[in-house]
Amino acid sequence: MTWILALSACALLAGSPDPPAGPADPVLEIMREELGRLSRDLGRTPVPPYFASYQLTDNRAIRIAASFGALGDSYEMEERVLDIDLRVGDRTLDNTHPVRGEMGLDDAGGVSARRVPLEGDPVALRMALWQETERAYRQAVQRLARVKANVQVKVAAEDRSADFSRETPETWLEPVAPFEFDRPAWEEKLRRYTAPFAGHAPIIEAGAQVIAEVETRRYVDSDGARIQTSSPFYRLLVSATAKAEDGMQLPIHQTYMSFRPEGLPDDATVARDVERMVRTLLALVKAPVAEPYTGPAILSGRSAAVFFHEIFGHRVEGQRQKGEEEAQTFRKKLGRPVLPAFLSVYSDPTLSRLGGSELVGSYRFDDEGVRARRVTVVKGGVLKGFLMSRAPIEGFDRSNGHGRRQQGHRAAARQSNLVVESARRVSRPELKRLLLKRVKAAGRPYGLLFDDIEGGFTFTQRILPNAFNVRPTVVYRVYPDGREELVRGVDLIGTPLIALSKIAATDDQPAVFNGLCGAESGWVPVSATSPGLLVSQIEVQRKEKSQERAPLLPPPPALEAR
Amino acid sequence: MTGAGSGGRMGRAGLAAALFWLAPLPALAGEDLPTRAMGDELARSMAELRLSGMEKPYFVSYRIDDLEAVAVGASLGSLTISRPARVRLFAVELRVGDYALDNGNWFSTRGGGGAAGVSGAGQAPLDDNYQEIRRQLWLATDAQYKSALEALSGKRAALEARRGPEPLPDFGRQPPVVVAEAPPPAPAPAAELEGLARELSAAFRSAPHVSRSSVTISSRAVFTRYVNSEGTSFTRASPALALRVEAETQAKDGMPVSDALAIHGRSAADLPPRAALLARVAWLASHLRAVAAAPTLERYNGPVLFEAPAAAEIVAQQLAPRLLAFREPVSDDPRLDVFVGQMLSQLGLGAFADRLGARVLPEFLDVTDDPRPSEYRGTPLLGGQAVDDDGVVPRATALVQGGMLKALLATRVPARGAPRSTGSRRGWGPTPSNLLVTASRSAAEAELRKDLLARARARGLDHALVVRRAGAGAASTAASRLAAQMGGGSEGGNTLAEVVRVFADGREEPLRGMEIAELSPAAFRDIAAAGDRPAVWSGEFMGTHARGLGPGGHMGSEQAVVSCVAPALLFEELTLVGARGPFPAPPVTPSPLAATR
Repeated sequence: MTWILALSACALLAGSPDPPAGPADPVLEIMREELGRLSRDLGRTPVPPYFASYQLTDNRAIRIAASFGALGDSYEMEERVLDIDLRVGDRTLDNTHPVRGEMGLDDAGGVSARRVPLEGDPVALRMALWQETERAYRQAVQRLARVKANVQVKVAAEDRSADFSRETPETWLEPVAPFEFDRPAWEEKLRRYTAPFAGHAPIIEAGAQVIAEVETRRYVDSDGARIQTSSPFYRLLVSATAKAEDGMQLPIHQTYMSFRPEGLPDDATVARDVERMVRTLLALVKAPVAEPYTGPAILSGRSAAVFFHEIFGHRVEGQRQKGEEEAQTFRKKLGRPVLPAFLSVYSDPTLSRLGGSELVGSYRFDDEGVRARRVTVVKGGVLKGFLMSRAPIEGFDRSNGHGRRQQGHRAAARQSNLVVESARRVSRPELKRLLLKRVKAAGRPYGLLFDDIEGGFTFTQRILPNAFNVRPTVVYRVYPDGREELVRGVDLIGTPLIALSKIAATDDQPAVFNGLCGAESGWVPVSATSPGLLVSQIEVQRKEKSQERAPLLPPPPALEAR
Repeated sequence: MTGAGSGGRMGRAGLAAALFWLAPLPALAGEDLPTRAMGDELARSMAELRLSGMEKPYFVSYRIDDLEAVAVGASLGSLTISRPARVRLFAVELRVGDYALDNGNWFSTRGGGGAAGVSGAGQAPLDDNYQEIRRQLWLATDAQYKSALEALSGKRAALEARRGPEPLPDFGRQPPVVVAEAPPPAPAPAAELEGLARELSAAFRSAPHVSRSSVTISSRAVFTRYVNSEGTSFTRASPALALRVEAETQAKDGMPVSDALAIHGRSAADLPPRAALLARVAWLASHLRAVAAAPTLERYNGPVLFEAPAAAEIVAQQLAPRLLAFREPVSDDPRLDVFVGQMLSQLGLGAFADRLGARVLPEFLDVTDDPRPSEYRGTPLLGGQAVDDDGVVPRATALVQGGMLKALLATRVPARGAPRSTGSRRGWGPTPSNLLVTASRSAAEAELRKDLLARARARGLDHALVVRRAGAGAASTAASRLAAQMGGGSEGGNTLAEVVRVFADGREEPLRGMEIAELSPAAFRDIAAAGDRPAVWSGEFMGTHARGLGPGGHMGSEQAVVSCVAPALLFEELTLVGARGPFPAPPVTPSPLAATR
């Protein structure tokens, strides 16, 4: 199962397009030397590695959180984590090959990740690299034995592609980015931002957090790649939840992300958004509960972006066409229409802005040392390609720079910045008019408008129905006379192929959803951009609801002088 | 021994300042807003919180812990982590029904019950923001009240369906007390601890045989505020410092050999001087080399002498859990009763409930739990506190007298053999404070050795075993197995830290990888002799094995630190076995430390 949330994310790059050529970083040099020494030593063992890489990730971060005007948390942290990818066997069959039918914990499915000394001391760093390499090697040898036996005893796999692609080793050395953040000022800002939520009885949770971080990644591999990237990343997240009389919890979120501290919004903007959130929440608790419904609907750009990320984006990730347990929705669809002819889709990690928005799914190199590049996924409705990591699939033996992971996980093909473009654009009023036309034609009492969304999830494996669930937070009924009524308590559900075939038109105002996506290789920051969609038929179900009634006593009174 | 002799002193600064009187805290100028928020919401909850047609709460308590901590780690002279933390946590306990029968001591398969049956916890703001603290307490109290009502009705229904002996009351009455301790001093500055961690860990740079080493130091200051609806309130300062040095290597046959140096105190002032610490770390490194090269025994059956530090450790970790009283909860599923019973007995918790009046130690040994002394002959005793987590002022409790079991340590929840609180609640259950083992008949070290060898000879053995330090080997095998099942436990297994074999001619030989096969209650009863020079051991109660399982952990904190003072103890018969593996293969490449030599 894969998830996307509008909450926190990891790290990104911005900066000049020219490869910086500074002096070699001493830590990177130690990594290179130690990789060389250990590769030589391990090369003399009966099962020598054919490939190894080290990735050392430095995180420096400040996190501040406040709730209802009071500071809840404020800390600074620094950590350094090592990921080792060590492969024995050969490119056609190695220790990472899926072992079919195996139960229990799959130790070598993940890369070993461990905290290593923060400081540049060579002795401490070399010892940490040695310990982890020994551990990774031991696991790799054990797992290769299991892989070989498994290949012998199971039926032949449908997809006989190799396990690891050959790529050009890259060199890219960015200096470590400075870390700048005014912590006391932001503590005060967050108190101010969250104070207006207080004093409204239905709002039971409300908070803001700001996370400022610099992530520096150093990567070396035995093919000769040397990559160092370093990038600051700032995000401000505001969330609030109201509880209706019937116990239903109604969350809404507002997120702001930037690669520059000054890219976060000013006080007036946040104050305006908080005021709007309070208004929306107070309206939501009084809004009627929506009924299960099928019929035409409009998805706003942000909602459509999540919709595409879930139901389409995950299904064009390379390994989903190969895994024997995967439903492989698009495996045999290359060169054939999969979307309405007016839609095109690409994934572009090299894009750091689109329109006025920064895109959090951008990076210069992926987590397997491969240069990021734009991939055309769908052109004129026809499927053109997949997002590829270094794990080849039938017909695609090279990576296209989409091998991504969270520290401690094995990289897999993941989305970056997914962009949906439309050749059939109409204005928003026109899209609404088209909706009402369809409502009337279908004899429905109303259509739905999904205005905002908090995230969603989907299943891509065979063992479960291939459904998706998108979680809207702000939904309106649109009546034939054009009147809009706020409702609450629905999830948008469906199955991918049907849902995609029902897209009828789009508006001309693409919107960006920046978020964090969770799947087999951990949580990675992604964005999705889409125009608003008119969908001829959509299905909603009732949201699961808290059975806890609202508090018995009213909120406590304010402090009185004694 | 005379450990209890120093018991009358009130050396602990906070304790000496403790006040006891029977009136609410006066409202002072510049009053403490968190305390006021707790008091105001407590009064409102007791007066107004009621679901129509249902019972009101009869007991509510609030607690707010301000925690400030610094944790640093280093390896080979380089920092691996340095993290200051500041957090404020709160807990609510709420009871409906009455002292005889309430929502506590109830465990349901349908959710709810257990410790969650009476208490809820959360994170409160760091700011002294009256409104927000009160709001958090309000919501937590509301949730707790609703679940308490459900728990109580479920429990009543379950009790209807069964017949048994007259049940114990669910909650014991206590007279209200007020205790006011000043806030603790701030934790040690991070830079100071970082410097120390770097310096100590750098000692392993000249020890290429050590494959993995680390130094961690944590300094914490916890300030607790507590109020309950019976009129008890307290503030309590709990400063703590822990330093741990770990080192690991592998013997030729692959057996992992690890050792650790752990020092607990209240503040950095309790640490030995830097030079002494460095010497101990250097000794640890060289000792590890000697142990890795030492032989191991497949098994040993015979007398075993625990030198005083090891004896104190084994008493604290293996005897003490049996001296605690545990209430078996009522549940709605007999399978759960069996499961809970098994868990407690595997950990040894409350195993002596039916042994009151029986002999559990030889007649020359006494055991007292005494929270009052703050040191023993210059070594700090760390288990004492002015007031326990129930707001009960603890007192000295004679647990074993003349070898006979006299009492068990208890909280306000009455249990078999323990109708009244001994002021021992830390975390969710009773925990020892300072255990003082005294011997009315003792022998000098040389005598004990002679005794040991004589007993060995009588069995036809030409050698006997001496345990100098227990370390990870102090934990019971059952407890560590259970911890491993639950995904915890330590990597070093159950190996005793320092064991030597002594021969008749006085020659000593270190052994590696020895574990206690089983330490039954009978083994303690059959202790043959005690030494005359007690030593202090302080550490986490039930070790890392019990983290999250045993009592003493609270609100996400570490296990409670307890102290034990005991003389050397000669066990008449124990079975020690060599660790059997399988062991990981030795490294296939040389370590960089060894390679650069």
